[in-house]
Amino acid sequence: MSQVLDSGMVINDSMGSLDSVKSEVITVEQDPTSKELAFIHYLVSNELYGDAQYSLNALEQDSSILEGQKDSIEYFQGWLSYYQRDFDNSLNHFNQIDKQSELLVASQFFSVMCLLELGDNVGAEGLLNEISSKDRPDIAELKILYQSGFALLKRDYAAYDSLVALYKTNNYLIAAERTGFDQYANDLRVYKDKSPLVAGLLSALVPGLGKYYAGYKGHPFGALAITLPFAAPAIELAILAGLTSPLFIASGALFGLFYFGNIWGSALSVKTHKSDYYGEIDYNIVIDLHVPLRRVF
Amino acid sequence: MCLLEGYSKDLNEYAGRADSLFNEGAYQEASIEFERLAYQATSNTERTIAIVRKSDCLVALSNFHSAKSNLLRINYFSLNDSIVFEARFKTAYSAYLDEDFSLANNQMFLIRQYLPEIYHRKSTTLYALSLNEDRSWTEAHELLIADLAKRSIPQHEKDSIIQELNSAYNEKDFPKYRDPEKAKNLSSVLPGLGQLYAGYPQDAAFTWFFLAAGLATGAYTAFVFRYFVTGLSIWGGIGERLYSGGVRRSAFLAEKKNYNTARRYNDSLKMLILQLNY
Repeated sequence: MSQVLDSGMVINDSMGSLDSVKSEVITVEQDPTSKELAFIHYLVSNELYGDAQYSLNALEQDSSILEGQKDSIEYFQGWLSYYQRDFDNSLNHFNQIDKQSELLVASQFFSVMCLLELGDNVGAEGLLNEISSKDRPDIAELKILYQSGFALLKRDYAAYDSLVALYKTNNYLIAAERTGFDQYANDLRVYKDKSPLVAGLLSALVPGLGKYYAGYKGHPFGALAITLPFAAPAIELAILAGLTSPLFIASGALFGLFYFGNIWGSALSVKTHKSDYYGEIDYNIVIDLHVPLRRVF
Repeated sequence: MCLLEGYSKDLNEYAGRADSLFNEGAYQEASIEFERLAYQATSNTERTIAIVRKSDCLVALSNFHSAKSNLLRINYFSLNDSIVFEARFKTAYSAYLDEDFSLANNQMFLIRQYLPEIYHRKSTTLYALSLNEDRSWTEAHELLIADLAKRSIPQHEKDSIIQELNSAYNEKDFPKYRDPEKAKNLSSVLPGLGQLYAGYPQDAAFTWFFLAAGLATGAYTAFVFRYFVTGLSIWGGIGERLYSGGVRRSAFLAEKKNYNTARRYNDSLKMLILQLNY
């Protein structure tokens, strides 16, 4: 958790000692800016984002704030925007933090997540690799977790295996996510690619069967229920009215639309299912990358 | 009630500033100042007072949901009766404005269960209004009559009010509750029946008209042109659409009817209760 120092600067007390029991100690001096920053910290911690934003905006107008305090304000602004999922704005604030600031590492991790949420995976990974974990074993472990998450997002299982081998401790702050990543890695490895051609052929034989093959277990019955009612009148009209009758042509065209549409849909569903499956795991990976930020910083 | 009395000397300055902002109509700023008071409070009483005052700001900003959530943070341990009453009443009030009537009733129930009788009277109006909204009209009626018995007004006035209340709360006038689940089931048995039960006969007639039209077209195709499967498909297709759509619509219509009838009835009761100055 973060602290607000006497100077009004916010630092993270867990950075140096992740294994120690964390406490949310707010040290408040008489300096009004420091007091205000401590109050804003309390507001954000209690998820009173509207109040925090209002107070921060008011504080930013204060001309007497010190350089370190400016970093704290930017950090809180970034933090606030991050929790409100305004990642563009969050990134802008985190980028304002001085390179020498104690808040730099925390802001870099938040920035990584902002970039990831904004779809800039390459930029996020680049920034992650820049984070210095020198003499900070806790940050090094957190960095490994993030790098392993990125390896999974890229489906680079060899990189994932080599990264997880680098863990030196079983840090409780990231233990749940480590277990989760192992499970995702396993799920991704066992997923079997299906053939769109086979799916299409199966649906040509029995409407909907291709979707079952693709992995949508409940869909075939729906496809069958839609296609069959069009097949029956088309067959009847073919027999009774003849293949050249306008009635058969109309009903046959309608049936054909659903029948061939279903075959095409089944072939496409192979890709869709794969995308859904990967999408769900990617979503979980990103969530699992967000969670430790709240715990660690 | 002057809540500032509950503060320690050191915090009075902050409280005064927050109150001034509130009085000036700067509710957003006042809300933050009261939150600051809650943050700096050294006792649960101070914190509670600040939270209650913050809820006043949020209600003034018409942010009823936030006002309710804000008040639900209160820890009732070691608070005196007047503060407990103020906190529970404000919670019920913001819950009522946020249309969370079960929470409002729950807070009122707790006032009646755990606080001395002097506080009951102060909460009667809100409790009755909230019970009305929860369709508990009999309880609201009993509550108003019981409260009236404790009031020190001449007997003939009491009799007149009782007469008005009995007339307004006549059981025969209570809006009939249409169970959405029952409406759904009825429409499952016979399309249109659920709509009829929900109180929308024109909707039922519309369903029957289209069912009959589908049946006629299907029968015509089957028996005149001798395309039996095609005729059956036409009727089945139209019937299925009307059937599944009608089942869902019946439940929706029952809920709509319940809301409209209760709204009309409760609005008339609200006028009466406020007029009687409970």
